[in-house]
Amino acid sequence: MIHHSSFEVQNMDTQLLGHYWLQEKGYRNAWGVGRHVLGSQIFDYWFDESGFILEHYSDGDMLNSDSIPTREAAGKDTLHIWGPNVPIAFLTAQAPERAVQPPDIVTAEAAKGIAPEFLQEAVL
Amino acid sequence: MPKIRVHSLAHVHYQHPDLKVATQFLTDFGFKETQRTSNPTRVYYRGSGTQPYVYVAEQSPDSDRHFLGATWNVESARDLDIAASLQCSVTGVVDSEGPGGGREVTLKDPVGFAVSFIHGQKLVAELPHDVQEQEINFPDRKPRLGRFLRFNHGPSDVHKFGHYGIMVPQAKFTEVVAFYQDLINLVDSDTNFNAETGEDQLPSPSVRIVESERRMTR
Repeated sequence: MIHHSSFEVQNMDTQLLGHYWLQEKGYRNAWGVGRHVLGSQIFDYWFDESGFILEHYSDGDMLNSDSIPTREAAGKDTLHIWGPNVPIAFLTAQAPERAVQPPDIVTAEAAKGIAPEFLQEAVL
Repeated sequence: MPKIRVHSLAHVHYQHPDLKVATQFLTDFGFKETQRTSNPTRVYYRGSGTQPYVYVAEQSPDSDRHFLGATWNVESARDLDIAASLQCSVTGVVDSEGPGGGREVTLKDPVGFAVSFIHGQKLVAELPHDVQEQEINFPDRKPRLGRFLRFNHGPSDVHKFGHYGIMVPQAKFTEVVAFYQDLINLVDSDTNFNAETGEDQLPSPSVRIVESERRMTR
């Protein structure tokens, strides 16, 4: 199955504005915001309403024909250097059933739709 | 057989069971609608880059979602002939229905993913970027003097389609990687392997396009 498709955005500011825009609309975050190691890009993955993962990325590495391929064992620090631990929902590309809406501090409305089983962090 | 020479990714194509809620998400994600068609019911979205569209949203014919594959931009019309001559070709060279036209060929990879190649699309002018100020002030170097950062709330405007990742069974992994690297001018960037089994696995190998003149892009 498709894991994700990824789309470049201008920079970290617009990426974070977009992150909080999607969060406020109640969409389901898949993983992010964080900084990848391989490729270095700042990532932010979201489930669309059908359950597909789309990524915003910015500030990736550029390589040329002199760049030497790397090869290393997968481990805790191979996916990202900062950001949340990778959620199981991201690794399996299985969207949680419900959107997780953050609390609204203006109207004092509590967080809604939290599905704890999907918020578990994967152990790498 | 010479390889198909690609220079970038063009677009992805998805089918959604509820196109209305799908398209609302795509707008909130930062795509710009550029064309709508009926029969099939499709919405084409562009980014701020020169591709006439980077995402195709289509009404699913059933109650499930479907990924209909990604399309790569090739260097010349000859690359389409190479693709059409392969046994895994499913369409031959046909006219593209999307904005900007062009000609395209669709293949099936060893695990059944559609992968398409397009040439001759009419590109579009870039849209202005919603970035007021690129300069960053550091503790010891402050180039941004008297110019302020003032942003607006809203979606993060998409610029271009950069990469996609597919999940394949471990038993098919090496075969699928070899298929793509024999087919297209892609080279390894990074490979991760399972420390216990020694097998290559997700999230890599990531691969990149080899362009002429030592220039490569992810």
